[in-house]
Amino acid sequence: MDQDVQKLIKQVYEAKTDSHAADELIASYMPFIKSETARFINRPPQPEDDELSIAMFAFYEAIRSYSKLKGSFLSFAARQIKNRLIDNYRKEKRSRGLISLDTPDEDDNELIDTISDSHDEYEENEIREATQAEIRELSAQMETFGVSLSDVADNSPKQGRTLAACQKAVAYARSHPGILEEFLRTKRVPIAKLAEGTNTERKTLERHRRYLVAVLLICTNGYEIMRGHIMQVLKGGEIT
Amino acid sequence: MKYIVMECHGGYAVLMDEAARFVKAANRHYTVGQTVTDPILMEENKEKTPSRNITVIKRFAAAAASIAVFAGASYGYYYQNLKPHSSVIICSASDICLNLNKKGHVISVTSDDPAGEAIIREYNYKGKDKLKVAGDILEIEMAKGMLSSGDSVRMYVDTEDPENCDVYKTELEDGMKGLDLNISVCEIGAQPAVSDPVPPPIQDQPAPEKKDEAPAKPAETAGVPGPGSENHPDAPAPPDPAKDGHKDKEGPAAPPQPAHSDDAPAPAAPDDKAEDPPPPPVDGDKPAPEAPGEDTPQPPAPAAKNDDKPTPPSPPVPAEQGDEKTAVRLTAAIQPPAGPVAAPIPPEPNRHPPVPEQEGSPDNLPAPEAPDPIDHPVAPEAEGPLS
Repeated sequence: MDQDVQKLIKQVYEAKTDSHAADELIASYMPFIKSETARFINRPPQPEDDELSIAMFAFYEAIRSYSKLKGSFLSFAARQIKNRLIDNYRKEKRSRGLISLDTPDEDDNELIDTISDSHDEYEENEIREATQAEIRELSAQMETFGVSLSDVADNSPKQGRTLAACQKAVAYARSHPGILEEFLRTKRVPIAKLAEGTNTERKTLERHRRYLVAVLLICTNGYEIMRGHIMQVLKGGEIT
Repeated sequence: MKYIVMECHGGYAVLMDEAARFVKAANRHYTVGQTVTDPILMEENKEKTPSRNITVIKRFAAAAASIAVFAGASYGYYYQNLKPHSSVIICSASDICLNLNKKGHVISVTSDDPAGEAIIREYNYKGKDKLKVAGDILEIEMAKGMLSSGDSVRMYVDTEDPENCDVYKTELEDGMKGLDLNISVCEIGAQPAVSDPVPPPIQDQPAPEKKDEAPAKPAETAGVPGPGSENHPDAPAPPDPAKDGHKDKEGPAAPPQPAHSDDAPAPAAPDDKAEDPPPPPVDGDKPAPEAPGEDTPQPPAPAAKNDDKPTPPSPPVPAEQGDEKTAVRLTAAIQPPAGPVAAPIPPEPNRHPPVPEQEGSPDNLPAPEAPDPIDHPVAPEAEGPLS
């Protein structure tokens, strides 16, 4: 029994930093996640239920924030799942007065079928596929820098001031093509030049080096969709 | 805000928002490249770190508590061991004062006497009990010849707690029994229980010769006995200087007979009106008008015997002023001289014949039949200060 607990704790600590280990742990504890979800929604969860997705996400949050001082991991994860489901329930309750587009009318026709759709589904699929291609390309290029998207998400600046400093550095690199070329050639972020050119603390840029790798790669040629998505930032616009 | 789904995992998805922020969110059946608008974002790991102010306050509180504990402990040690709570004064050949702490241990020894200072220098008293120190001091004095067997030693205990005083008295009396000395212990300011034939040497004590010169008779006639005049005429004054001073003041307060006769008002009536003296003044009453009149008896003129000089009229002094002047004169006569107690000056027999006793007047007012026209021409009211 103790060995199982120790093994679980070891897996949890390993999953804190390794995304693949986290995926494996979540997959191995899917019955536990489903049981906690079923306890909340009073029925067995289906794979397409939002509650199950939220419960899996809460389990991942529990992995990230667990500490030995907080007691048993499964108890902690169960509490985390319950809290997340309660939050989601309250959020959904706020929009309960709204009519769903999937609501059938008297003739058994859904409401969404009566609304004219201006979106072109084929065009959207094409854009999505192009975006996927860009993301795959970006991920592959990031691997050459030893950086994954999960790492970038963990290393992304949280405070607005830090984010502004990083964006200022990115804008400076875009205005100086030599810096981007040096970055692609050496596969190292020219922290010193960026800090000197933007009067930013070198330490600030150093702490968010992996994030700068991802954004600087997006700024290079070949990632038009993603660059268009963050164009406002790249132009130096206000961050909302 | 729109998010592009960058990566999908079993428990989460990586999204990129329009501010180029990469975030993790719940994977609600997302696919990579999808644009979403309302994701469930991962909560930041809110590790509760104590604020700096609270940390500083805690440190200050800890320091203050430490200081308070240390101060309390220090004061407790000082109160128990170093603060003088009581003192024992050994009145022997060398007057030595032992200052005791609350436990009764000697913390310091003082003496104004050179012999006592010499003993203190040679003797280590620190940390010893009062009985041990007192016994050692007396033994040292006996060894030095300052005391001999059978000598009387008086000890005075001065303490804040009356219960302690009794305990110390008992302890000292019991503890000093082994010594061949006549030891009496009493509270400071109290009369010793045992009469001591050998008075302690007190520097301000009046010389015995002067005492012998002082006549005892005037004091007795004055009605106020002198210090120890009844029981112990030769007993020395207690060592309490305040008490001594008090008794010294009271002793001469009794108006000696000569002074009394000096300031006594002489009969104001001349020889022809001697049989009709004015009534004695009563306290509080205004005296009779001083202005000479037909009914008013004239004060005896000093030159009454001298027929050549006219009798000077008595000055028109107001009664109160006259009282004050008389009181001043009496007070001056009563005041003891500085230093040793002065004996009252005996009367001059030739100038001041003895005044007959007036048993009816409790104030010892002068009799109007005893005029003294020579020295006291005007003194109508004199009983005020005397009463």
